This record gives sequence, C-alpha cells and structure tokens, in this order.
Amino acid sequence: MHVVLADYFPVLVFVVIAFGIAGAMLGGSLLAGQQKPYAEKLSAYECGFDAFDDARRRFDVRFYLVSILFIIFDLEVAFLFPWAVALGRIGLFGFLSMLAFLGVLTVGFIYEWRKGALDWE
Amino acid sequence: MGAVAPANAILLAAILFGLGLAGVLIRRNLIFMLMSIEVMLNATGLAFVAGGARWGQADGQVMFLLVLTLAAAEISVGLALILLLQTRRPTLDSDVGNRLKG
Amino acid sequence: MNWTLALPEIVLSVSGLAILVFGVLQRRDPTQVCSLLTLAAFVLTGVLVLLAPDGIGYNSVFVGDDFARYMKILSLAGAALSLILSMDYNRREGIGRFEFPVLLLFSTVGTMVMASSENLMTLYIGLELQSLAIYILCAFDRDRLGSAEAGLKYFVLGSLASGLLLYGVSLVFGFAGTMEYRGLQAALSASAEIPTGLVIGIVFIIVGLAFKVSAVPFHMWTPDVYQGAPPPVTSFMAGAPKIAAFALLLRVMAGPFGTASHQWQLLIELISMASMLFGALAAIPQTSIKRLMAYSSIGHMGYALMGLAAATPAGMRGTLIYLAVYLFMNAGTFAVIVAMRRRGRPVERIADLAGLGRTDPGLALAMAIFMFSMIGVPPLSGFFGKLLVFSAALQAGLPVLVVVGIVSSVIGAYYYLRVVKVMYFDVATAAFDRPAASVSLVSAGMGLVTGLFILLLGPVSSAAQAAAAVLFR
Repeated sequence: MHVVLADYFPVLVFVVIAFGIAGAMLGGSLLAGQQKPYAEKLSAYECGFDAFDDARRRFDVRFYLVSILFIIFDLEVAFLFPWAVALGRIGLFGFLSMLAFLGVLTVGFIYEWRKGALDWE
Repeated sequence: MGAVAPANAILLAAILFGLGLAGVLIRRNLIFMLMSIEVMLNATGLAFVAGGARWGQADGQVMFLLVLTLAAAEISVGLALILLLQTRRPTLDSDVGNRLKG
Repeated sequence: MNWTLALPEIVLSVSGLAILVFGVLQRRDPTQVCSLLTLAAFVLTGVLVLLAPDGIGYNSVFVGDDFARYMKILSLAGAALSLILSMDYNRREGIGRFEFPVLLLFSTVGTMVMASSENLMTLYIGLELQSLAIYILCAFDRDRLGSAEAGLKYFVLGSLASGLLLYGVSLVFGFAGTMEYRGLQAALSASAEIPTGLVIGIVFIIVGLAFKVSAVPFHMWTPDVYQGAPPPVTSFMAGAPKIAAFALLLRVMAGPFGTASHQWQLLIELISMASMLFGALAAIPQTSIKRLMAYSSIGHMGYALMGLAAATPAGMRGTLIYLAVYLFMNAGTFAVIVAMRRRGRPVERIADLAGLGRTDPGLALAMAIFMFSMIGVPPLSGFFGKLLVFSAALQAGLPVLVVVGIVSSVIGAYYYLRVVKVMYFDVATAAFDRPAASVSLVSAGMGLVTGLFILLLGPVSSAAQAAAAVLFR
C-alpha cells in the first residue's frame, strides 16, 4: 500500500504547489489591489454569448469556420505524425507523397484565404 | 493490467454502433443526429483497431486514421448544410425540414 | 508502375485542384471558363482511361481492368452530360458559381476510384469522396429552401448508410483478417463454414451500397432529394454515382463474396423485385416530373439488379448494358426537364408538358423516345437492356423474378405513356422559353443514342462482355 502511494508523491507535491501559487495570487490581489467592480467586468466570458441565456439564438458563422478550419488542419497534422516517425524507412517516395498531400491541403487553404474565411471581421 | 481481448473490443464497438444508430433514428435535433453519426463512425474505427489487433495487421490502424479523417470531413460538410438550413429557418428541429413530401 | 495505372485519376484530381485555384484567383466571374476547363479535363481523362494499362498497383488496393474502364467511361460520360446541362441552367437561375464544375469533377474522381477499387478501403474512400461532393451539390441552390433541405436530407441518410457500410467493412476485416478482394476470395473459398460475423458484415455492406443505389427498402431519400436538388445535379446523381455504386456492388459481390453467393442471392432477388414493383406503383400518382423520374430510377435499379441476382457472366453483362442504356436515357430526360422553363422560371409538373408536341416538336420527339425506351419498346435501347437482363435471369433459373419484371414494366408503361399523351394530346397552355443550344444538343444527342442504339449494341455489348468476364476470373 505504501509502495503504491509513494509513486504518487510527486503528484501531491504538484497539487500543494498549485494550490499555494493560486492562493497566493488571489490572496495578494484581494489584499493589495483596489476593488472597483462593475456589471460588465463581472459577467461570464462566453464568446460573446450570455452564459445562462436561451440556447436558441442566431449562430455566428465565424465560429463554425474557425472550428472547421481547426479540425481539418488538425487532422493534417495527425497524418504528419506517423509520417515523421517512419520517414527514414519510406525515403524519397514517402517524402514526395506527403508533399502531394500537403499540396492538396494548401490548395484548400488558398481557396479559403481568397474567399475570406480567414477574415474575422 | 493485461491487454484487452479483441473480442471484447469488437463487442464494445457493436454496442456503441447500436447506440449511435439508435441516436440517429430517434433524435430530432440535427446536431444530436450529427453527434450520433460521429459515434457510429468512431465505433467502427474501434472495431477496425480491434480487428487489426486480432490478426496482427497494421491495416486496422491505417483504416482508423482514414475513418477519423473522413468523419471530420463529413462533419464539416454536415455542419455547413445545417447552418445553411438554419439561415432560412432558425431551428434545429429536423421535423421542420420536411416540406418535401409525396 | 503504379502511377500509370492511376494516371486518369491523378490527372483529373490535379486538374480539379488547378481549376479551383484558377477560379478563386479570378477577379471576374470565372464560371463559364471553369466549366469548359472541367469539360476538357473530362475528355482528357476519358482518353487516358482508354489508354490506361491493366494491372494491380499501390500494394493491391487499386486495379485497372476492362470492368474498371467500362465503368469509368460511363461515369465520365454522365458527369460531362450533367456539366453541359448545368452551364446554362445555373446561369439562368443565378447560381452560377465556379465551384459547381469543380465539385462535379471531384465527385467523378470518387466514382472512378470506386470503379478501380481492389480493397475495401479504396471502396470506402472513393464512395465518401463522391458522396461528400454530391451533398454540397444538392444544396447548391442556396436561396431555395427545397435545395438546402434536399442536401441536408441526403447528407443525414447518406452518412447513415456510409456508417453502416463501414461497419460491415470492419466486421469483414475482423472476421476475415484482410480487406483485399483477392484475400477475401481466398479466405471465403478456403473454409467450408463461413463465420456469422462475416455474413453479417456482408449484409451490412449490401445495405450500405443498396442505399446509394436507392434500391428498396433504402430508397426513402430518393424522391425528396431528386425533387429538391437542381436538375443538373439530379441528372448527375441519378447517373454516375448510382452507376459507380452499382459497379461496386457488382465487383464486391461477384469477386470476393462470389463464393458465398448462395447467402446473398436471395436477398438481392428480393430487393430487385421490391424495387421494380415499388418503382412502378409509386410513380403512378406523381404530378412532378422530377419525382416521377426518382421513382422511375428506383424501378430501373430493380431491373439492373436482376442481372446481379442471376450471378452469372450473362447476368453481369446484362446489368452492365442496362446501366449504360439507363445512363443515356436518364441524361436525355433530364435535358428535357432542364429545358422546361416558362417566363424565366423553371416548371416541373407533368401537366406543364401539355401540348409540347405542337410548341416544340423536336423536344417532344426526344422525350417520347426516352419514355418509350424506359418502357422497353423495341427497337429502342431500353428494350435491349430489359431483354438481356430478363433472359439472363431466366437462364439462371429465376422465373419469378422475370414475371415480376414483366408485370412492373407493364404497370410502369402507364405513367410513361401518360407523359407522351400529355405532350401530344393535351391542349397547350403556353410554350416553354427557348432552351439553350447546349440543352437542345444534349437532348437531341441522347435521343439519337437511345433511338439508334441497335447500331451501338455490338461495341457496347462486347465491352460489357469483357467487363463481365473480369468479374468471373
């Protein structure tokens, strides 16, 4: 039992330090800083939406665009990982294949760039 | 902890697939239907990995990567279509989008 | 060399990407130019397909053979015809965007990859590429609610079917250990007893493919989606992807799962009978010609499945010829549907065709040829298609199937004849707007092909024979 718990000792140290630093920061600002709350500062940060409002509101398409762009390029990276690990064994052919794949995704990138999907406003 | 027997993983995949399928057929909210489709696709991915483990082949894991990518592509198309419908009628109720009949 | 095998697909994909980049970098509207470039790409790819070598490559996931060539030529023809129809229609409807030909091109790449698949992985990838592009194309007419609804409906049900198909593939892989067709064929013929999991996997794959082919009972999406989508998209959907999915069904059922044919033959028979009957009966009360075409295509897929149910080389040949015949009839009919415009707005009721015999005799004649061909009147192309599948089914010992086929043909004749009657014997209300030259060209061309098919029967039949022979190697 003690042997198992001993393995988790670093986690305990981590938790204590985390609480300690967080507590020191909060306590410090409570004691030393000036308190000037107003309504806007106290509202929750929810991407511009009200936190406890009705969920049925007009959805901003920009959020969709960002999330879709993220997921596509994230999966591109997911393909890059095994390729990077095995690059020694697949040689030039493997390198060129991945270049072709990246090229296709770059075409998509050029398309969305010119269509204005990357402009936030 | 030992390795998981592939048979158990395939059973889990079957259960998840069934849940996803039930979700698509029963749910009315379009977003939930999309999530259920995602669950179905990921369940098949699990089945692929389990199959690959059973036969000792890398095909299963390769297919899992492809399935994941295709599921993401499908979801992006699906969400775009849902948003398109939403700008016409602001609702996520799939029963409303049923004007075409006959 | 791997790349010589896949050269048509590589060339088509690269041209698709190039056209996309070209289109998006233009300042003025590039739609017409992109459409023409895509058409050129289709023609170039068609030539490359005919010149492509036979062989199996990319670690045996990709195959080039007569069957693949036959199917690819059909897909390219269907895509090119739909593209020609779309050029004028999109411009008049205000949905002329250059993404349309590019999406059509990518979908065709998907169908070509499907035709060349030698591994269930390639099957799935090709299928998904084709489907994703079509989901977007269905919803292309953004401002019409029907189009957006069609795209979403097709997407939900299509993804469901893809999920089912994928699950079937995973079961097959889990129980057979391989996804290659050759490997599956070996695994299935080696053991006398096939594990249940494998059979369930095969059934799931059939279900997924039957959905894409819109065979009963997985047809529920077809009428709504066909009606909502823009007609050029519908003409493509009813043509190339359906044929490519059919090609997959043929290749998968005849190849790896051929030795287990007694397991699935009855299933295909039932689906075929149900599709033929349902297509015939449900089309009777229809007033919209697009919905009529949807039910008609369900019926036609039933006839084509008869050849598969026979599970003989003659049956496969019949199915392949039927698919070619159907593609051209379908493209021609949709050319006429695209030409149905009055005062600048498209009309789609059968009653709107009234008096076409007097107001536009050429168009009416073409439509009459297509209608009679769909019934199966000799010597039009539809007759030969039906003759070949019926005789193959009879030879394979499936008389019930043939009887059901004949009965549904007779029932189906009712609504096709009704269209002809409305055109020639009803009083004309108002003439259609003059169709564009491209539309008239397609309808006339397809009318000629359908009417004079007897001249083409020889070469098409030998190509189909070679293709069917590949499946039974």
